[in-house]
Order: sequence, then structure tokens, then C-alpha cells
Amino acid sequence: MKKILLLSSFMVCIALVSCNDTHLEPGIGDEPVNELPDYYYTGGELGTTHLATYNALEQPTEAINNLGMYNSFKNGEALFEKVFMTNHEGVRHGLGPVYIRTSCMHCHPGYGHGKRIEAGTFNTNDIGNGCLLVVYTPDDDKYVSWLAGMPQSHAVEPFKAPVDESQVMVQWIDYVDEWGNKFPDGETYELQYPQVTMPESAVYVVSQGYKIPKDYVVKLESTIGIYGTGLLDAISDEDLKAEYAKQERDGLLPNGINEAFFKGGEWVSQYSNSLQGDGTPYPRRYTYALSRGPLQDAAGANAIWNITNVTRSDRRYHYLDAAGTYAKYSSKDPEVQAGFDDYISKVDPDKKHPAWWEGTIEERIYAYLTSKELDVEMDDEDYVDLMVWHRGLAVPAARNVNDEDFLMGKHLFEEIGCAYCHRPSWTTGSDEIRDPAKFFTDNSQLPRYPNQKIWPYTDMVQHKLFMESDIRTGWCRTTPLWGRGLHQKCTGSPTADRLHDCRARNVIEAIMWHGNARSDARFSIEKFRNLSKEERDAIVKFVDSI
Amino acid sequence: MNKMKKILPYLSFGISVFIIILLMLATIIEKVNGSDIALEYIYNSPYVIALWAIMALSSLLYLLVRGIHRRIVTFMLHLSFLFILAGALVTHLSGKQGRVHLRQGDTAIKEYQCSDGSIEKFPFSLSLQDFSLQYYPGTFAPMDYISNIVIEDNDGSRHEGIVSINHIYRYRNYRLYQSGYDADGKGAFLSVAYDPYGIAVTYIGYIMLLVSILLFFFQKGSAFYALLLHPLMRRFTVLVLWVITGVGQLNAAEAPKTLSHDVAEAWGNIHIYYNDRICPLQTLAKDFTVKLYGKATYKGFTAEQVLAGWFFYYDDWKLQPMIKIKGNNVRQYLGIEGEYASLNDFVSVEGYKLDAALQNNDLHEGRANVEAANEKFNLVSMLATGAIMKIYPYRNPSSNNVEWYSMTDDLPRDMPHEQWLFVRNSLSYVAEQIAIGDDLATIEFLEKIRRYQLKVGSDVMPSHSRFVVEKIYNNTAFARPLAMLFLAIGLISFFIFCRALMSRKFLPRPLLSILNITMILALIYLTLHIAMRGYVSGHIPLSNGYETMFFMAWCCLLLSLLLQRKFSMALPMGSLLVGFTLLVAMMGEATPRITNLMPVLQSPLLSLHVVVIMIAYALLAFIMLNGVTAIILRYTTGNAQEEIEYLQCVSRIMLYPAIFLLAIGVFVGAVWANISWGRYWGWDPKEVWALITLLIYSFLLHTQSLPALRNPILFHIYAILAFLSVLITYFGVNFILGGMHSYA
Repeated sequence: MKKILLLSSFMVCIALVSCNDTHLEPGIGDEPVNELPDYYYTGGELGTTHLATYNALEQPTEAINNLGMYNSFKNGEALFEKVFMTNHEGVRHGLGPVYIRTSCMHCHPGYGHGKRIEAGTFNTNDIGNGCLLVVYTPDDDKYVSWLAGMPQSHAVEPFKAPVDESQVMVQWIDYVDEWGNKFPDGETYELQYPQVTMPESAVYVVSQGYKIPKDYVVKLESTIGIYGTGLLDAISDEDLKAEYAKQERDGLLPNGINEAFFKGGEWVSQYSNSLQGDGTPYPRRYTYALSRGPLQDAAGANAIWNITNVTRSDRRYHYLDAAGTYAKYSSKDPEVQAGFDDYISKVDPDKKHPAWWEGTIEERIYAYLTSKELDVEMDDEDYVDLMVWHRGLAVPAARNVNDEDFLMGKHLFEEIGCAYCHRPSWTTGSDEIRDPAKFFTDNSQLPRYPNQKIWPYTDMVQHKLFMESDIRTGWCRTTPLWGRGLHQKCTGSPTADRLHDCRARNVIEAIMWHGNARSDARFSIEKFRNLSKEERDAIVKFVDSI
Repeated sequence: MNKMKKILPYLSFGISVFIIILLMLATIIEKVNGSDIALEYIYNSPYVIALWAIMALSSLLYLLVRGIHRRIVTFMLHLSFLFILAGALVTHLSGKQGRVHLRQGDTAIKEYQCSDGSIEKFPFSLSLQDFSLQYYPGTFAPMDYISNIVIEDNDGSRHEGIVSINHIYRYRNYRLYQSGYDADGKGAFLSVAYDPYGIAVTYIGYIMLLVSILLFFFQKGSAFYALLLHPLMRRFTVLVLWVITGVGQLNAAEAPKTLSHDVAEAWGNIHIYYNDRICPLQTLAKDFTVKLYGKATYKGFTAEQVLAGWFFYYDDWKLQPMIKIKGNNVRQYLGIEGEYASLNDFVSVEGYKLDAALQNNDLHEGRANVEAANEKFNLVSMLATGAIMKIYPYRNPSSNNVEWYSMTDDLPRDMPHEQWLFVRNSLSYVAEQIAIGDDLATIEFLEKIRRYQLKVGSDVMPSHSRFVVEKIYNNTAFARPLAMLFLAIGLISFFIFCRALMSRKFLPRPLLSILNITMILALIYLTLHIAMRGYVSGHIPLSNGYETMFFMAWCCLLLSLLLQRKFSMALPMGSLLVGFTLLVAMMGEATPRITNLMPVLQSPLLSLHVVVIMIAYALLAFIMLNGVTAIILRYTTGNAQEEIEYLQCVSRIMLYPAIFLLAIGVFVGAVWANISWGRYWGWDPKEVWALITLLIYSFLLHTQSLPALRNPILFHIYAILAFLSVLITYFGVNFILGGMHSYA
């Protein structure tokens, strides 16, 4: 009897212990090893990173590893992440006299796209607010000349900020599209767009007596991610031209090709730099407005100078408004005049620049602000490191690539025509380093990505979507979709913040903003609307996974 | 004198009954008309305060008239309640609660606004030097709000201090609590509490209460001892056992993707720097899963698989409804029906759904629930973003100390390239192999990480045996099934005890043996469990609620085994106590310290508060069951007077610890609230109902003054009805009345 009792108690214990182990799994090696599809390697063999962590967009490419460029990469990383100072010596000095942000990271949280900003005052101290104010005249779509193209809202004393951002208000306006924000099967979505107001009183030169010549409007434009830009630079000019030519031949899109840039199989306008470079033309690749050519003289190379006004050897002047109003009115401002001596003695303690010391105070201030011979604040070594890092950022691998809904989404994405503009893949060319500014002259200075099959999901061409309160000019380069699904993870934003002003809070909203009757994407959106919910969700999953 | 002796008990107990009814009404009024009305017309009404005062005074007189003051302990016990009531009155009259709004750079503030709208002056000036938000590592979610404040006293002295969620600043009996902040992050709201005298008087009451309760049990000749020595108590012996443990497994219908069992095991074998020590990743996996889901496995996946799933297959897992949400308020914010939310439920196009609730951190209203849910959300973020994965040791060449980094940390500038590369990329290669589905290669890469750890951190790594023991420990933590087992044993043995009573038969020895063997096995298991925990952690395993509860369970087991011959109830009561303590331990385990927030929920006082009250409720449940048994006996057998009296005797024995524990529990809760929120009593419905329960049950202790309750059957009926108040306190408040206790 005792034995039986002992046994049964033992059984109870065994049962307790074993309930952890009841889940049986196939042993090692039973699972078939998948050959990964090529679209998994979003950035090709040389440019893909595999982990989808917080720093997924911050990883070095294989090219950086292969070339051993870690030191440069690490230094470039620090230059990008850390704050610039208004000091006149020491690390990252030279911020100002006027500037847009104190660090790159402010606008590129987690190296990605900017975050959607909240309604209220436009606050550039918020890390993650990647928006610039785009101030232009609606009659000709030109940037106003009395503010810098990227308007500054900070200044180092005694100078005054060109824009008082506390007067700039952002509102989110609900929008109902022609379908009542509803799919045929009843599912609904919401749309919002930003409305920005900037009273004239917010403009410094106006407060000093300047008369704004004509009506202006203000829009928001957000940064996009930095990762993978090196890979896009490696696409050959010929392939780029072939894409334009093909789209022109096809004639499928209602708004055609932007004739300001391309017509009749030939470039109409290309990017060139005659200031630092020799004016050699290169096809346009970067920014929504396609204002830039090769990466070495594109948005990043420019931003490190014009966001901070930190000078470097080939840019020894300040980024200010085109009409010169800021220099003119600042030099007349008694308050600026009162503090200038103190300021300039810190900038130029050895009085190496006579023009800043001789003449009337007004002349001296004007000479300083418009000088083309400012001292170099960022040395060439740091600038090279920054560009090594810039060109060396990998793209996160696509996720969920073997899931059924991913595959369904991929199929539908192609079938309903999204893939026409969001061209899935390119194969890079020989990737010779080209720099319109002639700073970079040979291939050994930067990481390169020759002959890589990459999956950016962009045709690098501009199209028109006719969104409510649309982007300036209405033309917008197709944004690469790679890595965008990681936005929330990498930036901590609660919403997906898609499109040029972060107006879309999730993929569905982003897609439906493409749906205007005159939009180039109208055809695809009509098809998309008529898909079943399951199919639409599959596209969403696909878009979030690439 | 005699007349007075007759009137006074009616006055004291009568008013108590009236107060009980008023309090019940108040909680309903609060639900229907809002707290302000309930506060104005009942809780803070001068008439009700007068009632309390009359009740207190007449009780005091009655005590004196009956000569209780000569029985020191009993008198002190009653006096302590008078002190507590007096303290409440002082707080009501002189205590102040308010709020200040400080802005960085603004001139110092000299006054604050009270909750009633009036303005009060500080005897000093207060300004905000700096306000900052601390974020969860690797995320942008605020973890703590920190105000650096400056106090300039009127005497000219200057003091700097910090107010954060984790830290209350005290100055000259003013206590400042972090309570909110401005959207631009440049200003903060602080709650102000000032109540030096009320708190002092009240705390004296609490201390007296505790002391007299302790003394009571050591006092020979007390009513309690008399009951223990009651002749009926020696007559019956009892016992038990029948246990079925059906551990059902959840249907793994829509199973998310994760690593295979073997790869997950290799994954769990990596070391990680977590909770200020180096342990197997498995330990984090277990804490993570328990914290999120409440159990160490999910849909049949091991904790390592869950952790790996969230890390490598985030898109799948964010759809899994596996984040346990406490509190109806939070469920409403998230818009979920059941107990579990998926990560996706936390956000909508409007943003993070808990934002508004988090920003509006006024003192009460389920704040703790919101914070707990927020912490879970951020825990997932910290894992998914990699911030928590501090798996890479690095020997700092200047200090020769080993520091731990995750692949997302800012790495030291002097880290050699190979190491930098390894830290930045090794898990990326693992991820690639996982995507390919090559288990062998994945395990090999994971093994490489492990070898790197052993090489770089050789001297700081736990020994192999400690590592192995920790894994065994993790795999053998069965608090829940053990708790269920003992609750079942306790309940069943209780019923068998009753049946034995009814049929007047003794139980067969084999059943007794089974029970003994089970308890001995459990004792061995607990001994090993506690020893392993001590070995692994390197300290005596009594450092937190979980460990103390386990130790308490161990003590209960040992005591019941030793005492069974003296006191036949020891085994069933011991079983129940073991069950309850383990259950509470598990509750503690459900909030392991992974992130460093939630001081409000982490306090050891909270564990104590919960444990003590749980045990009290358990005892009250017993008393109720005794009552039910007695009623059944009465109407099924004609001749059961003796058994009914015996049951009354048992009930009364349990009544003392039950009521004392309930009182201690309620007042420990008050102390905890005072520390956390700056007020010890807030007329929260759960508080009120606990007080009602206490008052109702206290009548049962006063059988000398209330002769009707000496009648066994009336006693039992009263005990059954009184239990309704426990049910309402425990369940009803959460479901019907709400309030800040809705998480408990």
C-alpha cells in the first residue's frame, strides 16, 4: 500500500514537471533550408543588414566592412548624431550665425524619415521633427527670395532668427475624398493634411522694415531616410535615362514626364555645380524636387553645411536668403550692432579679416555676413568621414519574405500597377564616384556598390498625385519604399508618418492619398479600392515588409 | 452607572451600524453622482464627522465603564483606533493638498493652489531649475519625469532637490510629488501635500495597533487562548486528499513564427547582462514572457521562443493578443474586450493610445494600471529595438572593468575594430541565417556569440554550474500549479473534514499518508527551489516579495507538518496558506523588475498589503464555509449542537488573525498610499469597502457586548452574510464601483 501511495505522489510530481515539455518540435535539420529570394537582400549583397532593431537604419554596409573604413564611419556617425556648438573651436564648432537645427539627428530620427509633427507651434527643438518650412509664391511656385530656401529659425546672439517659429502654426485638417473615405466593402479610413500659417510678423526682415513683394504660402516637407542613398547613387546614368525614356514612350501616366527635366528622349535640365565644380551636367536623382545630382554633392553634402552654417573648405560663406535681405537688415539693426563687437572678437580674435573690423558698424556686419572667406570650421577629414558614413549606410533586409500574405501582396502590388512607379529593383552600374563639386576625385575615398541588384521600390522619376494642399510644384520624386516599414520601430513614432509631409498615419492612408482623379496613380488606386480587405491588407503587409 | 452601561453599547454599536450603512450608500452615490458629491455630502460632511466622533467617544466611555482599561492590551487596541480617527480629523482640519505649476526660468513661486481652489502660501519659494524626461532605453517613450527644483527658504537658506516619479521631495513637512508636465517639456506640475500633525497622530495609531495585536497573541488568558484550549477543540481529527491536475494547453491555432525548439535553446544559452547581473538569456525570456503574458509559456512556446519571436518575427508577434492588461480603464483606452491586448492595440492613427492618460497624471484614477500597461508596451519596444539586449561584454582598457553593450548602444570610441564589427553585426548574421532557415548555421553563430562572451568576460561570467543551476531553476519554477494544487488540497481537505464531522468517522490513514507525502515532497521541492535561487543570485533569497512569499510557504509547510498532531486543522489550513502565499508570490513574479519604473507598484509595502489582506480573506472564507457547514448540519442532522459549537469555536479562532490581518492590511495600504500619493486615505471605494468589512466583522469579536452573536447558529448566519462584504470588496468594487484599486 505504502509503495502505491509513494508511486502515485511521484506521478503527480512528474506530471507537474513534464507539462513544460509536452510541446514537441521537429529536430535539427528537419526544416528545409530556404533559398532566400533576391528581394530579401534589399540592398544587394553589399548593402543589406539583417536585423530589424532600433538601429536597423544605422548599420554599415558590407562595403564599409570590406574596406575597413570603420574609423571614418564611426566618426561620420558621431558628426551626424551629435549636436553642433556655437563655440568657435573644439569639436563640432561653428554653429550659426543663423541655423536650422543643431544636429542632423533632429530631423532624421533613427536615421530615417522625419516624424509627424503635432498640431500647434512649429518646434524645431523637437527631436524627430524633420520638417522644413517651404515658403514660396503660389503664382510661379518659386521659393521666396527673402528667406533662405531652407528657412532658419535660430540665431546666435546678437543676430536674430530669420523666422520666429513660435508664430508659425501647424494645424491638421480632416479631408474627405471623393469616395467618402470608404472602400466599396465598407471599410473606412481617415485622411488629414497639414496647414501651416506664418504671419508676416514672424519674419525678421519684415520687422525691420522690409516689404514682402507678393503673396506667399507655407508648406511642410519632411526629411526622408539616409540609408541606402549610396546604393541609389550607384545606379548608372544610362539606366536612369532609360527609365525616363521608357516611361515617356509608354505614355501610360496622365501627367507624363516633367518636361522641365526630360523631353523627347533627352535630358532638358540636369544638375550641375559651377560654383565649386566645373559645371559638368549629371542626371538628377535626389530630393522630392529632384534638385540634386550625384550623392557627393547632394542633399547630405549640402545639409551638413546649410542646416548648421558650419563652413568647410569649399564653402566658406554663409547660407542666407537669396535676395540678401537678412544681411542688409541685420547690419542696420541697432541691437545687432550693439552686440557685434563682442561677437566678432570671438569669431576673429586675431583680426585676420580687416573688412570685419574697418568701416562703419553697418559695413562691418554686412561684410561679415556676406563674406566668401570665412574661416573653415569643419575640416576636410571630418567631411570625408561624414560622406563615408553617408554612403556607407546599409538597407535593412525585407521581412516576412516567405509569408503567404507577403507573396500575395507582392503579386498584387505588381498586378495593380504600383510597381510601375515604385519600380522594385535596379542593378547598379560600375559606381564610379562622381562629384559635381569636385571635392571627391577618386574611387578609393568612399565605399562603392558596383553591380548590385537592389530593391528600393522607386523609379527615381517625378510624378504628380494632386494631393489636397499638395507639395510645391506638384511634382514629387517617387520615394523609395525600402525600410519604411521600420519607421515606428526606429523612431518610436506611434504612427507610420508616410508621404512628404508625414500626413499619412498608416499605409492605407498613404495609398489613398494617391487617389485624386488627376493623379498618376489613379488607375492603381481604383483597382486597389476594389480589392477585398484581405488583399488590401496583404499589400499593406508587403509595403511594410520591404 | 448601570443605565449608562446599558445605553453606551447601543450608542457605540448602533452608530457603527449607521456609519456602515452610510458608507455603503456613499460608494453607490459616488458611482452615480461622482466623487465630489459623495465627498461633500457624506465623507467630509460635518454631520458624518460628528457621528464618527460620537461613536468614538461613546466607545471610549463604554470601555472605561466596563473596566477594559485594566486589560492593557485590549484597551490599547481600542485606543489605537481612536488615535487613527483623531488623526483623520486632524488631517481633515489642518492637512493641505494642492498643486503647483512651475516653468523653467520663471520667477520663484511662493504659493500653491489647494484642491478646493483656495490659495495657500509656502513658507519658502520654489522654482524649477530644469525639467527633463528620461526615456526607456532605445525608445522615445518617457520613463520618468524629473524636475530639478530649487527652494529658497525665508531664512535665506537655499536647497536643491529632485522630484521624479521615483522620488518625492520633502522639505519642512511639505512633500512634493511629480504630477504632470507641459507639452513643450519646459514646465512641470507638482502635487503638494502638507499634513504633519494628522500623519503623526495617525501613524501613532497604526503603531499602537500593530503593537497591541502582537501583544494580544502572546497574552495568556485572552479570549483567543481560551478558544484554543476549548474542550471541543481536542475532539476531532481530520483529513484528506484528492488532486487532479489538468494542465490544459491553449490551442495553438494561429501560431506566430519563431525559432525552433533547438535554436531557441541555443538562443537561451547566450549570456545577458540583465537586472545588474549576468544570467542566461533564458532568464530574461522567462521574466519577459511572465511580465507580458502572466505565464512563462505562450501557446505552447517556451519563453525563449517567445523572446526570439518578438525579436526576430516582430511583425507576427505584434498581432498576438498576449499582453495582459489590468484595469478596465486601460482596457477602455486600448479598446479591447478581454484581458489581453496585442501590441497593435496600443496605437491608432491618433497615436499612442495611453498618451493622454499618461500626461494627465493627477493623483488617482487607475494611474498605476496605465503605467503598468505603458511599461509592458515599452518593454516590448526595448526588446524589439534591441536596447535591452546587453549581450556583448567589453573590457574597458582604462579601468579593466567589463562593460556590457547591446548592438544598438553607442559603443566606446576606443573599442577595437574587430570587436566593434562583431558587436554591430553578429546578431545581424544570425538574423540572416534565421531568414534562410538554416538551423545548424544559426546555432553555430549563436555559439560564436557565446564563445565571444566567455572569452572577453571570462572572469566576470557566472560559473558553469551556476549557469546550469539557473537554467534548471528557470525550468522548474512551478509557483502556479503548486499554488493551485495546495488550494485544491486545502479546500478538499476542508470538505472531507466536514464530512468526517457529520458522520463522526475518522478518515482512513492512507489518505492522511498521501497528504503528508505530498506536503513532504512539496517541502523538498521548495527547499531546493529556494536553495537554487540563493545559489544563483548569490544572496539570501529573502530580498523581495517573491522570495519572502516562497519562504513563507516553506514555513507554512513545515509548521503544518509539525503541528498536525497538536492541531488537526493544521494540514488543511496550512495547505490553504501555502496555496495563497504561492499565489501571491506569483503575482509578484508577474511584475519582475525588467525596467526601472513603477516604484508605486514595486514597493514591498504593496506586496505586504496584498498578502496580508489575501490571508485575511482566506480565513474569512473559511469562517463562511464553517457557517455553511453548520447550517447544513443543523438542517440535515437533528443532533449536531456540539459540532455546530465546535465550528463556531474554530471560526472564532480564525476570526482573530483574520480581522487583525485585515486591519493591518488596510493600514499598510494606507501607509503605502501616503508614501506614493501623499495621502493615506482617499475614500476610494475599495478602501471604503475594506473598512466596511472590517467594521462588520469586528462585531463578531464583541460577543460579550452583543450577546445575540454568542448563539452559534446566529453567529454562523452572521458570518455567512458578512462574507458578502468581502465579496463586494474583492470583486464588486472592481467590476461595479471602480476607482484606483481596479488593478488589485
